[in-house]
Amino acid sequence: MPKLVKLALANWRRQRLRAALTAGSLSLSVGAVVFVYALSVAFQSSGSAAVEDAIGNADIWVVPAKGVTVDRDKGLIKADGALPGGLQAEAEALPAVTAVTPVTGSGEGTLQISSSDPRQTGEALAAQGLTVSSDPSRVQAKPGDSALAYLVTVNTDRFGVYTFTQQFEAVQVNEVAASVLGVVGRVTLALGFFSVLSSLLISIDERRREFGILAAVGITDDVLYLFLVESALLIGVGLLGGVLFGGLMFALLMPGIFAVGTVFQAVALVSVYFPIMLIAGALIPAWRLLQRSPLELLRSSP
Amino acid sequence: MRSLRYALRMVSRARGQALLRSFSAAVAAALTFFVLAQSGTVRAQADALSVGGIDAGLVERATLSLALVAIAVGALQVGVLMTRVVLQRMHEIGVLKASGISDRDIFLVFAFEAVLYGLVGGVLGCLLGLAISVFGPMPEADEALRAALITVAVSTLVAAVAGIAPARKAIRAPAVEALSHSW
Repeated sequence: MPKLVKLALANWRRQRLRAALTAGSLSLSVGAVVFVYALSVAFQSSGSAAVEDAIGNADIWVVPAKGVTVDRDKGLIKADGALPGGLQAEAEALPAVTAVTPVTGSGEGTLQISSSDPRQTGEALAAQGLTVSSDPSRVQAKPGDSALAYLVTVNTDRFGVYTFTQQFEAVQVNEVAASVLGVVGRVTLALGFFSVLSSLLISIDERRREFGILAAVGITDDVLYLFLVESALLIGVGLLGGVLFGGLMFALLMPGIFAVGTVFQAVALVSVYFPIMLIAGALIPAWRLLQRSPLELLRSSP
Repeated sequence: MRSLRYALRMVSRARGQALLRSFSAAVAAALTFFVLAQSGTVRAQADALSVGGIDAGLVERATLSLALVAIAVGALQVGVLMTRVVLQRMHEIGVLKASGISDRDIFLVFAFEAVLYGLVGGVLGCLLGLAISVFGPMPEADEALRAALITVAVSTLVAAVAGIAPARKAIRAPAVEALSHSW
C-alpha cells in the first residue's frame, strides 16, 4: 500500500500543474457547497424553538388562511392575517375537542386545539370550511377556505419518522436551498465535479500506451489499484482543501453564527460525493480501458 | 498581433473542441451573470434569509462571492484543459521553436488561446444567463448590460491568469525535446 501511494504521488508529480489546478478547483467548489450547507444548518437551528413554542403540546394547530412566517431575528412565529372571529367558540363545540387555547408570544394569532381524537376533529373542522392538512409543505389554505388547520400529531407517511416540528423546519430550510445562494453553491459543486472528471479522463487518455505496456506484462489489476489510489489522493486533497476553505469563508463572512459543529455537519453531507467521483472518474474509465487488448492500447497514439 | 492571428487559426481549426473547452467557463459565467443581473431577486431573498447575527447585505455579498468562486472554478478548468492542449501541440511548439519564433511569441499564442476560451465562455455564459432569466423576472436592459460587461471581463481575466502557467510550460522545453516529444 505505501508503495502504491508513492507511485501515485510520483505520477502526479509528472503533471504537477494539472494536479494542482484540479485539486484547486475541487477545493473551491467543495468550499462553496460547505458554506451553503453550513448556512442552512445554522438557519435551521435558529427557527426551531419558535415553532416548538407556537405549537406546544397541541394536537391541531390552526393558522390563518395565509399561513405563518418565521421571524428569525426575534425568534417568533408571526401569523399572516387573522383567524375568522368566533372560530374558537366553534372549535370548542366540535366532537372530541378537550381544549382550545389562543397562542400567545411566538405564534400569536393562531389556535392550539387539544383533542382526544384528532382525526375526527380534523374531519369536523374540514366540514366547517377549513383546509385540514398534516403536511407542513402546504403553507396556505385552499382558496375560499377560512383557515388552515395542521394535524400535528397525525403522522403522514411522507416524512415517516419525523415529527411535525421537524417537518415544518425542513420546509422552511428549503428556502436556503431554493434561493439563488443555494443554486449557486450546487452549480459550483457540479462544475468542480466536471473539472475533476475531465482531468481524470485526460490523465487516463494520456497514458494509454503506459497502460498498454503494463497490461502486456500482465499487471492489469495493479494498474486499476494504482489509478484508484492516485485519483483518491487527488480528490481527498481537494475535499480537505474545500472543507478548510468553506469553513474559513463561513468563519470570516458570518462570524455571528459560526460553529465548528455546523461545518462538520456540512462536511458529512459533502463527503457523499467522494465515492461517486471516484467511481465515475477513475474506476469506470480505467476499467473500460483495461478491457481492451494490450496490443490495441500500445498501438493507439493519443 | 501575429501570435493572436496564429492562436485564432489554431482555435478555428477545431471549433467544436474549443466550444467544449469553454463549456465550464460558460456555465460559471452564466451563474455570475444571473446573480449580477437579478440583484433585485437576490436582495429580496437575502432579506428573507437574514437571521439574527447576519444582515441581508452579508447574505447578498456571500451570494456574489460564491458566484465569483464559481467563475474561478470555471477558469481553473480552462487551465486544466490548457495543460492538455500544450502537451498535444508539443511537436508543433518544437517546429515553431526550430524555425526561430521567439519564446515570447509562443507564450502569447497559448496565453491568447486561454483568453479566447475565457472570452467565448463569458459571452456564451451571458446568453445562457439571459435564457435562464426567462423563468424569472427579466432584468433591466442597463442592468443586464452592466452584468454582461462585468461577467465577460472577469471570465476573460481569470482565464488569462489560469492560462499563464500552461503557456510558460509550453516554452520551457528545448526545441529538440519538443520536436521529439511523444507520449
